Amino acid sequence: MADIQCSICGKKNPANTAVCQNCGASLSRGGESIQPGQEPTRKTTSELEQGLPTWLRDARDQRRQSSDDEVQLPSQPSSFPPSSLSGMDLLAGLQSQSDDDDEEIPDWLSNLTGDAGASKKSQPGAVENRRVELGGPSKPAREPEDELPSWLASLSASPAAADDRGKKEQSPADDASAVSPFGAFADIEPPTQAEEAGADWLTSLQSDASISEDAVGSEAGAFASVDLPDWMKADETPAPAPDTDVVTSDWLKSLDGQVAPETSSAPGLSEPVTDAADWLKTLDAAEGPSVPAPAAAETTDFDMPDWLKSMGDAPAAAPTPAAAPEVSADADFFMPDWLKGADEPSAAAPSAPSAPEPASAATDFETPDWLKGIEPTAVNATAAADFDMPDWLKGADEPAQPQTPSADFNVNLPGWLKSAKVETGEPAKAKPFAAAEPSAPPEPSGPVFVPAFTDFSMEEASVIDTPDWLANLGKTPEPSNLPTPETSMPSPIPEDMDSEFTSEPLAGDLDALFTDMPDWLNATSMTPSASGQQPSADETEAEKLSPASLPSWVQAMRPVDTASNPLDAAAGETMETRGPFAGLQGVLPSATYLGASSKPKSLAIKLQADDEQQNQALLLEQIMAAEAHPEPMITPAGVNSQRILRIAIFVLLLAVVTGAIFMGTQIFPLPLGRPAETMAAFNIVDTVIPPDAPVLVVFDYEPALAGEMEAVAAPLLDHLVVKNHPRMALLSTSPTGAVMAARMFSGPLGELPAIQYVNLGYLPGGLSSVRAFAQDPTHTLVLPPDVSVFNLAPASVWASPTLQGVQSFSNFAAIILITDSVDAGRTWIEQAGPLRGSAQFVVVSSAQAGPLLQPYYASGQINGLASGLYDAAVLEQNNAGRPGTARRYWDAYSLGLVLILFLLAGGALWSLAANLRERIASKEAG
Amino acid sequence: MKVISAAFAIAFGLLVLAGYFIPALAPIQAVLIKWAGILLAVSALIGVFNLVIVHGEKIRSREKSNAYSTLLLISLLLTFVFGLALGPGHPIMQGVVNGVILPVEASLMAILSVTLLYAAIRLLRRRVDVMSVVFLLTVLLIVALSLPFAGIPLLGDVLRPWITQVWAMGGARGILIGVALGALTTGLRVLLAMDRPYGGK
Amino acid sequence: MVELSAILILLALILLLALTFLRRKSPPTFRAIPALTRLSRVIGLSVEDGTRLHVSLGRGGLLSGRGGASLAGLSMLRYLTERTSVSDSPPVATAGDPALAVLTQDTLRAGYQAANAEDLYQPTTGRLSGPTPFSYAAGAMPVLRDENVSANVLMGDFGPEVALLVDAAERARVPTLGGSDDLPAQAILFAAAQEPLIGEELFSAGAYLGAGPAHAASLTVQDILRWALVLVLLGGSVMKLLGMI
Repeated sequence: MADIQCSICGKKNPANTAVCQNCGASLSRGGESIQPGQEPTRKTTSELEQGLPTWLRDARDQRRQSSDDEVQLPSQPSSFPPSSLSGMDLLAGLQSQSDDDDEEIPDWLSNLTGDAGASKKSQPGAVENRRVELGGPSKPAREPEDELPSWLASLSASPAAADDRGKKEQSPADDASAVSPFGAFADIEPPTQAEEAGADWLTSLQSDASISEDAVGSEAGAFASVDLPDWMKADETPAPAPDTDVVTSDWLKSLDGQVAPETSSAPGLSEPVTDAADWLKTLDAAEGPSVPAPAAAETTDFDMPDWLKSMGDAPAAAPTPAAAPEVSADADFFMPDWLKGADEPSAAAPSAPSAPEPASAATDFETPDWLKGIEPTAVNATAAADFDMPDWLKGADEPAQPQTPSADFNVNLPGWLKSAKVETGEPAKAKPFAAAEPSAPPEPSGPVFVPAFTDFSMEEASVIDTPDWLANLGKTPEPSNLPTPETSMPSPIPEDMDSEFTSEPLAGDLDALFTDMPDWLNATSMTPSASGQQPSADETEAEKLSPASLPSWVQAMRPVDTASNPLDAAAGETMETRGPFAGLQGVLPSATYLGASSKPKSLAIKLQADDEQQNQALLLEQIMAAEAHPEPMITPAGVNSQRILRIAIFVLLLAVVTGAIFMGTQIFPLPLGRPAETMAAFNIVDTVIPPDAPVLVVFDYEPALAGEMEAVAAPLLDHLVVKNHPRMALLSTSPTGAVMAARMFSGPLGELPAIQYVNLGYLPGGLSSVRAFAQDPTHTLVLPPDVSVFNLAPASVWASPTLQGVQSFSNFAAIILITDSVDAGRTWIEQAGPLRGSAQFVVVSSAQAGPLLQPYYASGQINGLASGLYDAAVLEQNNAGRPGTARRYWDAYSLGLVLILFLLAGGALWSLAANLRERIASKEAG
Repeated sequence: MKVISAAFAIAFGLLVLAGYFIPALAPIQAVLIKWAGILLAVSALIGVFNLVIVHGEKIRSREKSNAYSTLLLISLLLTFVFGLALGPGHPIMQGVVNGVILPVEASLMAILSVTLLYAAIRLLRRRVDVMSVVFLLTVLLIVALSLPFAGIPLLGDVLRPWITQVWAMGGARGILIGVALGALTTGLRVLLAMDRPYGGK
Repeated sequence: MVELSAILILLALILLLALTFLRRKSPPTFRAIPALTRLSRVIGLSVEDGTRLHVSLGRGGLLSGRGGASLAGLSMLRYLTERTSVSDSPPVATAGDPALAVLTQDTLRAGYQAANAEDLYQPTTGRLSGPTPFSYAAGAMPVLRDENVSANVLMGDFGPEVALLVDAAERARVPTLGGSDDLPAQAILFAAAQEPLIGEELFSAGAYLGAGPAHAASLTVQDILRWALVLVLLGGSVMKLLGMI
């Protein structure tokens, strides 16, 4: 089986090892970058918690544990007066770290001190599903500000104590996950406790740097009041009691222990920190069991983040439990890029691998992946495959050597780091960025306070894989090493997307990942002058981070990069340089693609309309134009041709008719003809009707035709009365009939003596009433004409002597119907005719109704018919010329007919001519 | 309610119709007809009341020719009062009829003659077609044959009766048959409530 | 005679019911009547001009033989009311019979109800012009002159007095569409009116205007019975000539 080359230190390790034997970095390759177009790898989220950094997991554990145990951190004099560090909120959480003596020093810290990495002991039950909480009501309570973070407290603790502390820190924290920034890691199992290696880098730093415990402690106390971000906060599990009365962070303790035992007094950091920062622990756990516990692990109270732990891994560290490889693999997968460095071979700095070797050998510190690939090369933001490690992480690649904090280092370190202590005797925790160096465990000379970063010398820090910021504290920052605005804040996605996920170390300034990185993290390299080249080289190496192993959900969110080959850009797809797609290629359609479309078809502006549409449009236009022109109103002429014609006709007719009447001319002879129906009517009256017989006379004509009707009926009634002296009953079906009847007997028949008649009045109802009367005339309601308000109860007419013996309609000897309408005649004939019995039925009608009643005579339904002035003249000739009305009207009637004939003929011809003339004129006009 | 009234109307209509053909229903028919007569007599009063309302509204709103409406209402009131008090045979009432009603309507009849002559003269001006020419020729013929000197044996005794009794009467009978059939179907439609122009939706 | 009448009535009843309710494959086709064709245009012009229609129903009583023409006039009045209810000037209906005047008012109200414009109905728009024919004509003539009438529709039982109405309409420059069951009135309307309806065209107005399937069935029944009568007349004449009867 082929050996595995460590991406951090470059040392070849056996294939079956998961952690680099030199630097303690994880050798797992589970974090292969994702290529464009590649389907995301499905991951079980419950297993992903192991991928969390150790420090994160530890923080979560501590949260949980603190709420259950209600651990009261021992009151220890704070070496860090709050007032001195009031502005450093970033590190305030470090004070909340308990100083449990039993707590192990993180590996990274122990590595700094060069102590042998304590074996990473797995915590039973530590591997469990933990739900990462993003915050909210379950936010963990703030740790007491007076508590030092474990990673600071462990600086003054022994490596052994650091190991113990680290073990305890690996216990499940109650709600440390509340502060976890990795909210997506839900239900992930906490990694196995490998806190021994987590503090290696700090222990190595501690051993190299000369940090006065007092200074560190004072500043640590001040530091304790600073509010640290979550990733730097240790969990709430009470840190083991420090071996000494000096509270210090483990990593500082380890530093102190490696440098000088007398510098272990760091009251500020004497407070044991039960749990190092989880992120340090996580680094420790993620790097695998082979990461030796750094010397900083001796600071039992320090819980180093894994990324720090991994920096100072030492091959001598005891192998971590079996779950560690798995955890490390998962941790590598879910570890951000900046924590991974296992797969990043440092190509730029050949000297870099050698730098972290001692450090890795000294401790079992697991170098985070993002630190693995870091080489002390020059900062290069534009390099496609390089990853810039922050300076303060670059020291992990350097061998963990016992270093005494130097005054040089102490100059540029913040106060809280100056007061950091390192407990001696505790195994050094894993040193970040420090390769596993087979350094001897820190001297168990009691709690040694290692001031935080104050007693280190740059050179020593570089040797013991101290972070660059530690190494560079004593130096003026080189302009080239300082993060420039361009490099410190590059685009979120490098231009070359592939470089982000390749195995090559990423280029660019590591500082760019921390936009708000405090100054102490951005300090220049603290490597000593002897290894000054190495820090620069290590910087380049350290800056290179292996690509992260992205979780599946992140993989799925990545846009598909269709142009993974730079050659594709030449094919037309452009590389995005701005915005969220910066670095991606082929995401958006290129302009060339848009330009490749065909030219749009030019459309004619002119409207396409056929002839019909044009005609309609023209018509509409004409209509609209006509609306604008007012038309003169046609006022009717006062005297027009129609009125003249009417007047003329009236005048002519009036003159002729009235002249003839007033003149009494008798020019025209009476007709000589004897119509049969007329003579039959006369004969009925003359011979058929017996004398003194009841006769029903119906007056059913309108006043407008009274002249004609009286002219026709008068001779017949006159003959009847004179010949037979009948008893007449007068009836009418029109409202004016009774009046007409009275007019008849007072006018034309007025000269006749003693006419016996009774007026039955008005019979309403029309046709139905006629039938009803014909069926039962005595019971039909008929008001006598003499009824009035003065005579409301007149005698019944049927009891009168005139109608004596008349009980039914058939009792009448004759029925004479005088009507001007065909309807009335038809009604009486059709309704009453069948019920008349033997009574004679004679109809006297107007000239307009005569022809239509003629068929009734022809059918025998009536016995006689006399209609119009013509028959009136005939009747008068047979009645000895009495009353003479017809004779008087005959000349006027005849002259009127002649006039009408001529007017009608002439007018019709005139109208026809006018019409033809108009037609011709209209045709000529077109 | 409308359904009940419609049902009653249909039932009584069918009874009256059947009474013409079924002798047993004749008494019921007679009774129903008498009731209809009473309703028609009452409707005459309703019509007069409607006349009063319309002309009264015309007077109130001061519409055009409202003076005639005033005269009408006065005349109506006087005639109604005198008619109830004196009776229709009273000489006063006879004088009103002889002096007002009869001359007015006779005048309207006289105007009608002028109107008809004018319309006949203008017929060919309005439309020239075969029927119009035939119509006018017929009118001229009949008028001519009605002249007193039309007593010429050939014209007065043969031609005129042949035109009036054969051609005119034939056409008139055909029209009357068609009118009768139309009235029959219309009456059946209304009788069966298949057509109710009045009485709501 | 009575039996023949009963047979004729029963036959008409059966045919009317059958043709009304039986579904036809194709709608019945009728000959074109220019007067009814132009009626729609007249209505539209009336509504657009904001003028009113004058509808006269004649003087025929419902209990007389002239009742059929009066009912046909009421159907026309209903149709015109529904279509001119939205006009600024509602139609005016005059009648020469008291009972017919009451039905005229009811028909107007029904037309407004059908058009969902019952609030626009005015009872005075349905009038009794006069109890006698000439008084009725005399009462209807001022309507044509004074009430902004744009069209004169005469549908019902008219006598010779219809000439006065037509002449008044002509003097007011109002076109007249008229039909009557009376022959003299038909002659006068033929000579004086712009759109005369001759014979039974008065009763076919409903079918031409889409009043309903019963109206179309009525026309078909009329045609059937007319042909039957023609056959009977011809047969009887032949038989009379042959001395059979």
